[in-house]
Amino acid sequence: MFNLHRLILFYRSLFLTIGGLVVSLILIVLVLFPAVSGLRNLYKALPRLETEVAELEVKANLLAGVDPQVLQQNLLVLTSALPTEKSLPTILSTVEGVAGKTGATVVSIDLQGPGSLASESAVAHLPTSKFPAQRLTAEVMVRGEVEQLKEYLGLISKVRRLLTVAKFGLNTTNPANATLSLSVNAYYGALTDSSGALKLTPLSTEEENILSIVENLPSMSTFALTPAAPLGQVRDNPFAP
Amino acid sequence: MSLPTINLLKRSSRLPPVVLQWEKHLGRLTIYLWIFFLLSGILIGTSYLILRGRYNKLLASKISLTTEISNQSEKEALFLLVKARLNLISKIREASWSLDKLLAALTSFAPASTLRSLDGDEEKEINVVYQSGDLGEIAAIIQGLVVLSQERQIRNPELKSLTIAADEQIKLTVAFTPIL
Repeated sequence: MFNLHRLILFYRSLFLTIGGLVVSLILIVLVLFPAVSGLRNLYKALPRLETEVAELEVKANLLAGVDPQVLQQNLLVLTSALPTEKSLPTILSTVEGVAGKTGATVVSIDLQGPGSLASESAVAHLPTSKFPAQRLTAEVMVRGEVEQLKEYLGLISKVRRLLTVAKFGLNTTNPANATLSLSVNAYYGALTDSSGALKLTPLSTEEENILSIVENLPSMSTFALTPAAPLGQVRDNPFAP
Repeated sequence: MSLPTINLLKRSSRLPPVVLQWEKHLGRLTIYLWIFFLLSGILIGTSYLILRGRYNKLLASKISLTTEISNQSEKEALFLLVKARLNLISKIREASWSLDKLLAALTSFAPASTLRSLDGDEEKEINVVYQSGDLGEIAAIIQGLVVLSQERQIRNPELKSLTIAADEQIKLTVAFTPIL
């Protein structure tokens, strides 16, 4: 005991130095290193947060600048071009409407596999295909003068209800009574809402062009789509007229 | 009178020179480490405070903007629906062909009376049959198709058949793919 006390007294200054060294090393390891790590994490998180805030600012400004009435009108126009459901009446009336406009006569319309008449929400969805819209094919036979049929062929894919010609055959052997057989695709697709996405970009020039084109396409269908009820508004009495 | 005392322990002693040397080095190192710790602490602390302040400010902006946006969820939903619809329509339009331009091009060099049949399939190959009693008209049609090809309005023009019937009617069948 006496020897230990003596030893401590003898090497006192050396022990103090070593103690100071050990404490400084412990502080560096236990305080400084974690602090550096925390600072680095904060430094990394900042740009991400800045980007998010910038995107949210763009989104907020964009939403502040749009009129919901205009958006509803746009949506109505677009769903008249591409309905949410099969909308067989609009297909038939458009095919007839184009014939009426051109003076040709529709001889037959054969809808290929119209399938379920249930609304899209009631139909079990198939696994996602590459093409997000679904289509119905109608085989149409039209009769008339050559010029009428040419006009019909040109006009059928330039009407509000989105129809594309898959196949066609124009027979003009008898110019006064020529025939045109068409295979027309009519598209439809459910409304897909991806609300909550962080990024929201304004309509591009191309999108605005498409909107403008669709708006200006003549509507040949006699079936007008009624405006959809504004989202988020719930009627007090759903059975009220 | 106090009794005399004898202290047998030395009051001070000198450490061996090697230990003194070590002590000196270690002391210096300790001072450096403490200075390093303090300076780094100040630097890190200051940086942390600055960054944390900025982070908190951004976080507050994010919360405020998120609230602002969620108050306009109806508009957002409508806007996204419009965008999604436009995207779909754009894809469908890209896949469709404009037959009015094709018809205009085909009748630009051939009299309407010469056109006998016109077929198009899903591969967008067009087959056209022209018939005329005038060889000049048929030559003009062939020339017209060549011009359309040169102008890159059609590709792969192919003369499928050219027959002259007993009644001197010339029947020309051509196939091509429009780039319209």
